Amino acid sequence: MIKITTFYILAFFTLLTILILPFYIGGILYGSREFYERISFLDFLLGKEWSLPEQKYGALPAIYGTLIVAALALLIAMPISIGGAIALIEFLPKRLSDKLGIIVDLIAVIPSVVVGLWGLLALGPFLKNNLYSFLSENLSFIPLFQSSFFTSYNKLTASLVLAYMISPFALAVIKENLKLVPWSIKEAAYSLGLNHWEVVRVMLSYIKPGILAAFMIALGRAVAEAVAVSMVIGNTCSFSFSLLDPACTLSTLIINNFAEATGIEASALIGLGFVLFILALTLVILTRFIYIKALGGYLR
Amino acid sequence: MRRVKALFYSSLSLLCLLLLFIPLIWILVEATVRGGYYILERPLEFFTDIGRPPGIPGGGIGHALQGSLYLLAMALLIGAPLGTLTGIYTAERRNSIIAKISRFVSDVIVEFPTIIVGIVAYLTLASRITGIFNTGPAALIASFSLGLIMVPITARSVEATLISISNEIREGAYSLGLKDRQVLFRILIPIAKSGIVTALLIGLAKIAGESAPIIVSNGISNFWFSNWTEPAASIPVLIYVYGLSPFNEWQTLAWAASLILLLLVLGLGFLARMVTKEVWVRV
Repeated sequence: MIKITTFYILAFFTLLTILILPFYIGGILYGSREFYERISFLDFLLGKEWSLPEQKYGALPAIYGTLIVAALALLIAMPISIGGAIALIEFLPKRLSDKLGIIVDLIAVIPSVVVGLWGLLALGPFLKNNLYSFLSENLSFIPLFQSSFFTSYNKLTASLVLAYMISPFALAVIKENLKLVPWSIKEAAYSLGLNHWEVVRVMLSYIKPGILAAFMIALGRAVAEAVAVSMVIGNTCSFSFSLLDPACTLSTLIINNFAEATGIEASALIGLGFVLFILALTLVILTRFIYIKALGGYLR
Repeated sequence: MRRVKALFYSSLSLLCLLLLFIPLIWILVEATVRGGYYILERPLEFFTDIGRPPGIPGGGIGHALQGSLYLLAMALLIGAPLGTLTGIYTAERRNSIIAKISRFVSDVIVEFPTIIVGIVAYLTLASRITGIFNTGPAALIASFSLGLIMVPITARSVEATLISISNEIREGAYSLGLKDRQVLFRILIPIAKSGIVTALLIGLAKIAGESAPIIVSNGISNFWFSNWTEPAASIPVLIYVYGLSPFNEWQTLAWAASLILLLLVLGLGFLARMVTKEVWVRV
């Protein structure tokens, strides 16, 4: 007879937690079953149009939107996170930087819908009046700023909002990595007569894998974010190149339409969910390996 | 020249940090000014009434507060035991295979898009075609997804707390002849109490602001909570819907609700901070 001990019970609950991952994978496969029956996956993946009235459901515009907005957000967020982390670790006195660090952590817990609301009712209109009007009047010869729309809600607004949401996470990772730089490296650099900033550059090149890890974590979050982006991206699917045109992403299409969708549209939305799932799973697993490698087993 | 460059780049890094604070202040000020004014104007109505049809001033977020309370309580009921017990196991049997797999799984699902969690829960449980319970959008399904989202966060923080307890304490306890159960409940958990509370607060703060899984699995409701198999209103979804509406009154309500949500989430965050000094932006 097996005696049921405390740790068997704990192990049982741990197994339940482990089952969550197969549940997600199995659940999305099982749930999108209906979708494969109705639409060929390859046609769906390469479909160039998403339009309800014409009953055309192709994932390509949404994938394009997701990647463009995420890339732009990272382009904005990464330098700011690196700079912010350096300022916190190297240039500010410890007591002040501890306090400011707490505030940066606070940014990470602002609910995404609140950031979305800010983008929708405050940042968007502000940018439209101050920046977009200037760009479309004076710089419209550059294809990036050429737009037939004049709207507060476009790829640029979405990227800025997204950049703000992912920065604290990238910053936290870079900060932890900067803290791990061995004193011997810094001492060696100082002893060569480098000044403070040059030492920081040495440190940065030392933690390159950590910066990559921060990049991946931020990318994962940027791809996954749904609510805030859907509030400011304009939700018009197209392949337009201009930053001032509205767009759509995988998650914004889902969040906008999932509740009311029926029939083939619902199936197509589940298909989008499937694409997002694959994208996220790949990123998450890749990130984990990079992160562990970066910290050299620091995370066990 | 080198000195000028150093000065330039160090001020640039400080500027980067400053850039991160501007939107935070902007959000807080905007929510306080636009929303706080409304709350002060009609406090009773705001907390106890439901939304009005567009164009009619007034109304409140009572239904959303109530709905959020129900959703979070049920999510806590699902997620808290699972997360805590998993965390305890992975810490106390840290070299077992189960612990290693569970650590990997927690790391993977903690970064998972929450909207996918909502979709999976909806498709497998609630959907009229593929769901087991066949309820359609339902509050219980939303709670279930929120609970799942909370599990890995809680598990990892509980684990970290228990691991930080030094091994001598365990050795001492076992050498007195205490059983596993006694070591756990009389020694380790009392020591780790504040850490476990922090873990739960962090988990709660995370799911309190979630809106994507709720929108997907529970849909949108503008009424009082009626039944676990019906959609429930909640604060994040109310902000989403009212914010996107073209009506001024509703947008004001969205700001006021944001203020409440911010106070709740930041309050939970601060509380967690007070209980322990642990970093709570966990990767």
